[in-house]
Amino acid sequence: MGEFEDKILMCIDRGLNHLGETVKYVIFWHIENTFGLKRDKIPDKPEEFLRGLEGMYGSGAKIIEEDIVREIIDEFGIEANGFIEAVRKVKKATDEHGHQRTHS
Amino acid sequence: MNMDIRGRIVEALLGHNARRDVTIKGMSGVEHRFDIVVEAEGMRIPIKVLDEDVVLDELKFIRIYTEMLDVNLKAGIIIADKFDEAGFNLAKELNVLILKTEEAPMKIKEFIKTPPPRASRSSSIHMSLALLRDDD
Repeated sequence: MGEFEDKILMCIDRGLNHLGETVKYVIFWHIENTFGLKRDKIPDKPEEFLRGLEGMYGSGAKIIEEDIVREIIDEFGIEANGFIEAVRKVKKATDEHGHQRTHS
Repeated sequence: MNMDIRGRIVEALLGHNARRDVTIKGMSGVEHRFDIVVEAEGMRIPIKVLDEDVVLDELKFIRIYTEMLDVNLKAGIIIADKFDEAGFNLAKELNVLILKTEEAPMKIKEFIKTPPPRASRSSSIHMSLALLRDDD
């Protein structure tokens, strides 16, 4: 797993920690086993992760999403409206940073 | 105070299979404890009782709902004297009934005593919960 994936997963973990360790574990379990999305694939498929949360919590997914997005914004100092946009911005920034490093 | 409500509910449901402090293993393998679980009409209904000074907000609701979801129960009941609008609305959306302490024994008894016509197990319980809500 790359730097981008690691950091996004760390933010998701921190966001879900507001609900407690047990709830976090159950959420990841259901996202993987009910919605077929493994934890380490979430950074690449943020839409599927959100779909899973909505499948579990309906409109309540929003509050979980907001907690995660807040963590991403704090970590990366970006502005983003929602999880998908936040992940895309971080990926873009990480790709550009990596690209610059390989050319410096 | 809410310690008593558990006993009062079980008492009100005499003749039905209502048990206190039930631990159920969820699909994830995590064990969840419910204050009361009632079995009626082939349905298993988990009941969580909050302390009277606890406000049920969205986050607290999501924590409880996750436990209900993990044990594959399609509906549940939370007894809470204080809740905010967001928590209440989310509970309604996800077919979890919120009852206040005083009304809980009677309303749960009504629900168990007069289950609605059964279309399917899950729709039946959802209809019952909707009927109870209409009484509010």
